Amino acid sequence: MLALSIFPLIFSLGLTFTNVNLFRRTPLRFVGLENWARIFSDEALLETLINTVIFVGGGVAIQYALGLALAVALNQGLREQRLMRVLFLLPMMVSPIAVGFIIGRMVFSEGFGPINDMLDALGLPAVAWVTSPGVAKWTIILVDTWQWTPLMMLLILVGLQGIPGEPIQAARVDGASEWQIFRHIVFPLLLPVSITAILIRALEAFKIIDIIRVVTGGGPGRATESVTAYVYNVGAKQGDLAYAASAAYVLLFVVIGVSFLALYVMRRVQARYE
Amino acid sequence: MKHHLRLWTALFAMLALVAASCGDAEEEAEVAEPTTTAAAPEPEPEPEPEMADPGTPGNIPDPGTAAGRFDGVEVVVAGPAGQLDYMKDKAAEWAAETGATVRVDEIPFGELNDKVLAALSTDTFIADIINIGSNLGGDLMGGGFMAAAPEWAQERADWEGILPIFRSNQLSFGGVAYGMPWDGDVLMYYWRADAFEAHADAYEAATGNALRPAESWSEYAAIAKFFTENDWSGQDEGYGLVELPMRNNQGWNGFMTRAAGYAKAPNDPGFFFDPETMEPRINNPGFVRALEDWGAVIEYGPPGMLNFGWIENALSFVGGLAAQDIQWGDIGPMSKSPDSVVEGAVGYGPAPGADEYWDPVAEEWASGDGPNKAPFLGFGGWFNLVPATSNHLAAAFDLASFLGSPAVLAEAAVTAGTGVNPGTAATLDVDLWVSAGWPEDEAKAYTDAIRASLDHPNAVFDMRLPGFPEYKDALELAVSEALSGQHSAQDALDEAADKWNEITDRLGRDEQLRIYREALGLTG
Repeated sequence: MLALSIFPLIFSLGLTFTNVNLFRRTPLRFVGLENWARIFSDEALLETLINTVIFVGGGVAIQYALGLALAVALNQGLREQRLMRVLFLLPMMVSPIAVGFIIGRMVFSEGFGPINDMLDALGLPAVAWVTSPGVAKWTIILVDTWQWTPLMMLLILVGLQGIPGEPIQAARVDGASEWQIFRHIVFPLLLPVSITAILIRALEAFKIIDIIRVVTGGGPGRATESVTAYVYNVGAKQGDLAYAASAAYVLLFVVIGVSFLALYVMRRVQARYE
Repeated sequence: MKHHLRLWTALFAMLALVAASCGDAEEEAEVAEPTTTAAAPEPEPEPEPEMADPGTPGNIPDPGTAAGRFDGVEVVVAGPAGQLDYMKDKAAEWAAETGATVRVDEIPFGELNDKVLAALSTDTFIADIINIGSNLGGDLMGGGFMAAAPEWAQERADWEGILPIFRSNQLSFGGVAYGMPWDGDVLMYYWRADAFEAHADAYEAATGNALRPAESWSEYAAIAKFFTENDWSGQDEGYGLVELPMRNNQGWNGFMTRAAGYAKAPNDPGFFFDPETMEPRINNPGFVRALEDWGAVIEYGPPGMLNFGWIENALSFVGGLAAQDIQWGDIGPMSKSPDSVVEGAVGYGPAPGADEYWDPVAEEWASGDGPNKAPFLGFGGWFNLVPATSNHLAAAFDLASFLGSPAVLAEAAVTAGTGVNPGTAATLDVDLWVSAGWPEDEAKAYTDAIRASLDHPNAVFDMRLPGFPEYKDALELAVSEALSGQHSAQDALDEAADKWNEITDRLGRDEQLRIYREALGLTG
């Protein structure tokens, strides 16, 4: 723990006060808060931070909704439940790079992809999936959703299977509809699992880079560049490790803030049900 | 000790960066498993490392040519994934003859520069030979990471047979030869000669002009519009052009090929910067108009072309989807490949020019007798470098000079997928192409087009400054923002110019200016 987590964290914090650059053989120098001050005037960082929040907010919300729907469907005692569960999990087992290429580059290809072909067959106009700044963000979210919805489904399914049957049967006897049972019994009982699933996925989604690099390269312009991609560009491509570490800390602070906020909101919601 | 300290610092720094950014995702960036091991005898104990002083040629003893001269030595080659198969075959031949083994590590194209720079900057071994694009030459050779090429290696690579523009701008830095030849690159213009012939009358009826290969970007645009709006390809779809606009891919080369005609004045050696002040020129009216005009013709390309890199571009053209293409010389051999539907139907020429060019000294638009052409030697060609830290300098240069020999390069040039374009006398010999099965008139047209581009007095060699990846990133971002309508061309390029100034100041304006002037052949 000390070697793998705490030391690198402290070391990287130390880096933010230096001028370390991988590609420039300049003497190591203490620069004080110079890198931190640069953050406040770095519009690119702000832009990528906004992109990241959109990816996380949009992606995780859709993945939760779909995961919940799939989990509820799979929890109905279908005969093919086992097979379905394995099939639904397949996307999660594929490398994000492969997913990015197959789904992002090929399926969403504007000229040769099957989705635009289907739209064309339906008489609908082609969509600029990766070359329109606004649409490209959603393409990234869709590819990410295709890959990670199964994780949500799996976690929620475990939660569903852990719900005791008695309250549900009692509600049925009392004449409650299926929707009322779900709304007032199942969903509240799922909240702890839901909070965990959303948090796990959100923490992971904040780090998104692989799919972006393959599908859009961060473009058009900077429309789909995430903070991690930006940090990678600054650190690995430009060699500016000191500033990259500072920018990475911004992401860390945001992730911590969002995590606390999410936990606080979820607790309030849970308290309301309790 | 100092080296160890730097290595540890960098290792910890990388680790810390990854931890702090929570990043774990660069699966793509992983170096692929070694893919080739040429047959060789059981390895002997490694010989003592040879030492080299970067920039000091001739201190690596000539190993001679005796068979088995490198028994037990393993030479590691690193280069771009996907185009090293031919090199592996040739390396295996060399290994069989010398007794060495060769391991070829393929690195994804998009990660190659980063990995090489990061490894060399931290004194970490990456390979004995690096196959890399010459626009990283400023960082690699100028950064003191490379061993100078000994004279015996230059002789074996037929130094005098390499075109002067590559000898001085690709293989050498600061007057010292470091690299061994592999590829010669220039972006050219291709058109569907069969379609031009078939639709000549319709074009003339529609536009009032005779249909001929574009000499200027305005003619190119008119032709692109005509072919996009008319059914010509015999397929479900056909477009007027295909280009290279993708950010973090070939956007730099795509834009500079066009901008050179608008912004490279024949009477001024500078292009990227003012060679007196190092002030960027990329936001002057020439570059701005080039970007605006480029944005106006993007609609004549296949859908999603903003996301097209090298492979999408090449496949679109040899797949018969586009009437015109801006690409490197690879299109020639690719048009003969089994997947091509354009064999024998391709026209070859230098990239079009601009009707007017911006004269940065007079600060006004100017024009000459015809369109201002300025062929862009984008990327500058793949070449082989030997890091000064290689443990097997003699073996590395022996292999690199073998790979750069006229016979090997001639065979590579006529073979699709090698990444080798003509850049030497041997590879520009018409007879070579005829013996490879090309019709003589087509072989002549192809080699003439390359020669006309490489020998052009207004040709622009790609940037070779230290910090090139940063300059490229900033420019590609601006181009991408403008082409996708997020910013005007002027605003985007102004922003890029500011970024370029910031990079130049950070790296040292005087030193960057000195290197830039040197690259332009200016003294004082």
